[in-house]
Amino acid sequence: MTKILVVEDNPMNMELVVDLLESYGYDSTKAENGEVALEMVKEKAFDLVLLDMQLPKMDGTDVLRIIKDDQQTKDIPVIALTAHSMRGDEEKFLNAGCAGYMSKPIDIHKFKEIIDGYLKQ
Amino acid sequence: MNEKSLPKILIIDDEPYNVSLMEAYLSLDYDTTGVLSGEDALEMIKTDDFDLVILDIMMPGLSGYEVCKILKNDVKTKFIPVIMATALFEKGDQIRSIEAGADDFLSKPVDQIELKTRVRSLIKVKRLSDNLISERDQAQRYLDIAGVIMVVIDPDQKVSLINRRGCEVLGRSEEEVVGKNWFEVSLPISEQQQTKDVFDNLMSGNGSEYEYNENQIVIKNGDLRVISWQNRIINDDHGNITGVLSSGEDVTEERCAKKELEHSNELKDLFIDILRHDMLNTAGVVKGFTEVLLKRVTDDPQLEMLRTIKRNNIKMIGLIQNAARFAKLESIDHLQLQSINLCPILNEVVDSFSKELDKKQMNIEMIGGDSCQAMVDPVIEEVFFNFISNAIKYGPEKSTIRIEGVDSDDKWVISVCDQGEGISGADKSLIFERFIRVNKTNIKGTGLGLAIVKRIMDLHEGEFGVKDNPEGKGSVFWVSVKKA
Repeated sequence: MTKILVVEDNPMNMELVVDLLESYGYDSTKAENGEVALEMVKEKAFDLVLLDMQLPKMDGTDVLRIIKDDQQTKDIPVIALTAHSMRGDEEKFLNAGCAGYMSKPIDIHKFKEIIDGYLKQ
Repeated sequence: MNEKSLPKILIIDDEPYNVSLMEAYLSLDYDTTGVLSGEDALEMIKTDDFDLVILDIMMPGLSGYEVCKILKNDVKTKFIPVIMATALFEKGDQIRSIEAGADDFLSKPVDQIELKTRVRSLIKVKRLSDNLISERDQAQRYLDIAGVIMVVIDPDQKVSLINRRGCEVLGRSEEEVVGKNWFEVSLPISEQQQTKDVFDNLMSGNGSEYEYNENQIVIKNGDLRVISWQNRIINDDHGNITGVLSSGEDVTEERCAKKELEHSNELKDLFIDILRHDMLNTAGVVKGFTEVLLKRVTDDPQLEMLRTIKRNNIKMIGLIQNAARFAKLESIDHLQLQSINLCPILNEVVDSFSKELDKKQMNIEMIGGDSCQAMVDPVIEEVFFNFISNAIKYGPEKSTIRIEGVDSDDKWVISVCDQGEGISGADKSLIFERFIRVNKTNIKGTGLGLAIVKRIMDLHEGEFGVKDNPEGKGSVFWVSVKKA
């Protein structure tokens, strides 16, 4: 089963994403902040990480950098979840090592398509 | 003393003959008045301004000494020169005369030349002293007229002068301030010592010659006022520091207004932040769950309700995004314009609406060349986005939207023409004004789209407007921008 880690501090956003992922038959794991996320990627082999870029304490960009600097985790594709207010920052995230980005609010019609696209890569 | 009229002399002697004689000697050059007693003299002086008094010492009733003392002790008359006249001038008389305040002596019988010489020189002195007093009064008047506080502080920190405005602000009379320690009179106790130290440092010649500062003063009723000061050290002819002249302006209201403005700006920023982050995210979550439900629910009436929720939710997201965008545009006051071809932008915007256009089976007709190079900011895209979005929203199904770029001298006029219901004459000028709706509740809202258009065009210093479709139903929304 495809394993996806969702890093998101807003519980409602989290629920929506997890609900969607499970309805498509993925195995999803929740991490409500960066520290938890970094522990989890070490414990389990994830096929994909959905990473909210605006996190409390440790920011999304920091989490991304640590994942990409670590030999053990650097090959996991990371998709940045970006807020409306971050329009224009997407390029920065791609340069920092994101496989792609998805802007919030999430368009559920394209959600599966996008996820599957990154999983194939 | 009026320069043109004759100087006025009051002659007092209990001997009528003496009065007549002196009047005879002086009346050619002076306006003389004679009285026969000290009491009469004091009455006269109350009602008339004299420039000189000639006073006999030995008189029944009030003596010359007594009259002189009274005159010299009265602020109103103390500057009138007094000549004491007596038949017997002994050393004791002279001392008593000086003690009484007399300015000169004259022995009787009066010698005409001596009289005229003494009178002339004392009148000259009086004239100079009058000029001095009037100059001083004039200077004081200027200080009093001044709308700023003027205060002179001597090296001992005492106030040697304060003008009317200064007294007004402090709520104190001149007497309550002059001669008192300025810092103790005007500053909150907690700040007195520090300010005194700065002042002493200034007095000892350290620190710059000009000093600007702003501080709070305590006025009589205990209130605090913020004063903006400009201070200047006063030096005497030898370069010694003799004090500080400070002019101060009461800026309490300005400072308060500034604080309030800052507060309301902070509040505005906070609301924008809430809009862009918290509200938008929450509305997005509603959207997500609604869409999930729309995929799962099969019951028709429930589906219909979910569609209504979705429609309103999308509208709400649009409003929040527009409000945030509008607020952001309001906070910008300058755009860095660059040469951009408008045609690809228009094409992209049209493409982004392909789904909506298909849904209403509407056509887009693009007229004009494929190069409209203009001086714009990329934000201009939102103008076209709003125009085309409105045209789709208000145009009927299967109608055509015409987008046109027209070459007009040094400008490009870009217009979007729909076949909707059109906009009535009166509303044409109001439709771009978001703020009018804030005050007038009866104007139907059209969202923020056109207010955003207006703001963007104002920032471009470009023109914009709406007119009726000349070829039938509908409106033409247009903007003009400078060619590159």
